[in-house]
Amino acid sequence: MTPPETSEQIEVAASLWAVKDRPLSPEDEAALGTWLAGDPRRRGALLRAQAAWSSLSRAKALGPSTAWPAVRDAVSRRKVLTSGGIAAGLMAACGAGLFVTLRGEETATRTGEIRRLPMSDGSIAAINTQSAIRVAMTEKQRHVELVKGEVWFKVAKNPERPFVVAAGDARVQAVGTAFSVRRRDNGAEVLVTEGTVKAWFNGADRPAVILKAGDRTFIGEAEAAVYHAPEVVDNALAWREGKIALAGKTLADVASDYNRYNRTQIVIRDAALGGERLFGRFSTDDPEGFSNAVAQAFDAEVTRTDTTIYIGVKKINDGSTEAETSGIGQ
Amino acid sequence: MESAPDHIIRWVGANILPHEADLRAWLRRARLGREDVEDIIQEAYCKIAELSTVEHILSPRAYFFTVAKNIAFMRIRRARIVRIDSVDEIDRLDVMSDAPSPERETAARHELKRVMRLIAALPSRCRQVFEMRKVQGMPQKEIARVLGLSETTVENEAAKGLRLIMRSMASEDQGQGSQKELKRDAARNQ
Repeated sequence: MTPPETSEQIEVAASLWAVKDRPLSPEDEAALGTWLAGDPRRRGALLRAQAAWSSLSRAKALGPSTAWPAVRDAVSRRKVLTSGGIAAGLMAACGAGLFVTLRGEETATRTGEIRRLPMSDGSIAAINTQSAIRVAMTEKQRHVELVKGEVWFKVAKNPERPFVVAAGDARVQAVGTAFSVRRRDNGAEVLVTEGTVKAWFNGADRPAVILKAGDRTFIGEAEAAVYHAPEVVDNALAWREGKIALAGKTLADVASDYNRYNRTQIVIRDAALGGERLFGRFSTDDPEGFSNAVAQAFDAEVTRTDTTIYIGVKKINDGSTEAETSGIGQ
Repeated sequence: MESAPDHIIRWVGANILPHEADLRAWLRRARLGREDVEDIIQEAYCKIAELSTVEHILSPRAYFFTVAKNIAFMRIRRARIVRIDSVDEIDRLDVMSDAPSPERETAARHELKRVMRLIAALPSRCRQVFEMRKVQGMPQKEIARVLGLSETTVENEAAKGLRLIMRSMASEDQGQGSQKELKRDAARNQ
């Protein structure tokens, strides 16, 4: 490509096209088509200029300027000109890279990142750690592909445009409701926090199951069983507040939860310790604090490397530890 | 080929453009840099140019703000370093609470006066052409004949007038009373 046009050059060209008398001559028509095709930024700049030009048509209501009251002192010419200078950068670039439409755009979170994504239809997605979705909004359907991980959706009501989440072959459909989907290898976990959703497995010869607020199920090839467990659903979604609900989980399970959210990995080095059950809520981003609390509670020993926190039983004598000899956790 | 169909251009002129200065102020409050803000606004117009119909848009202001908000999120996500703090800030900008204030509604009635001031402040030949074109509604050819100028010159003057007016509208500060719009959404996710 030739050196990129500055935004100011685009603005000047757009203003010239905007003020031309319509309809355009066939030659101008062709030239405009070529100009627009040359750079995606031009179309937006032209729309803005044409919109301003069209809105200024109301100036007709002003009548001839000989009849206008003295207005020169209100805004001096100097002010108009200098503010133009300030605004030289205003028609700034939408670089080609920024031009990807929202349609089919993949949104992904990194380790430990939880993102709230407002969608163009008014729905909201809360995307958990290490997850990715692709949103495709069409007139007939709102389609979200859960590429990996877990997402909670608060769906804006619109019976004309069903909201469908696809996680592999698992499908979850809502009209106006709130629910989460976590993609697993063989299907997807579905938790409903508000309203009603319909869920099914693509290709399975079975009717869809209906889930209501507080229900959870697993959609896979086998028949789906629906459990009503509002508390479990609530705890499972504590991540939306940046928390892990321990709720009687084993230390081993909670450690693997932490490992979803943090680069620093927790390794439990003792099976009996790993089987201890924990309660309460902890911040997902604080594996250090969590490990320290565990050490306190179970009189365990915590050893750290740059990437890993090892939790094990206390040694009687502190000779050589194994921490340095074992490999780096995941 | 045009930027957009006629009815959309008119719709943007009447329903989107008047909110541009507010949108700019709103985005600035999310601690986004000036350049980022201008890029986002520009891209929002590009996005609107792709619409084939606007009938489904009940609140053009909210739509404009939402499109900009989505673009802002997209840009942050594409940045090599994800600024969680800005994500959080933008997240807290509540589109629905950003309704125009009553003062702003009244101000809309003074729009014509403002246009009059802006035209009056244009350089003289530019102003003359602009007036004949937009106030008297004369075709370009006719203006060229009356003023004894080439059509190209008339076109250039009109375009210059348009740019000057757009720029001063864009930089006019309308962000007063803006703090109330920055709603801390304490109750989210409850």
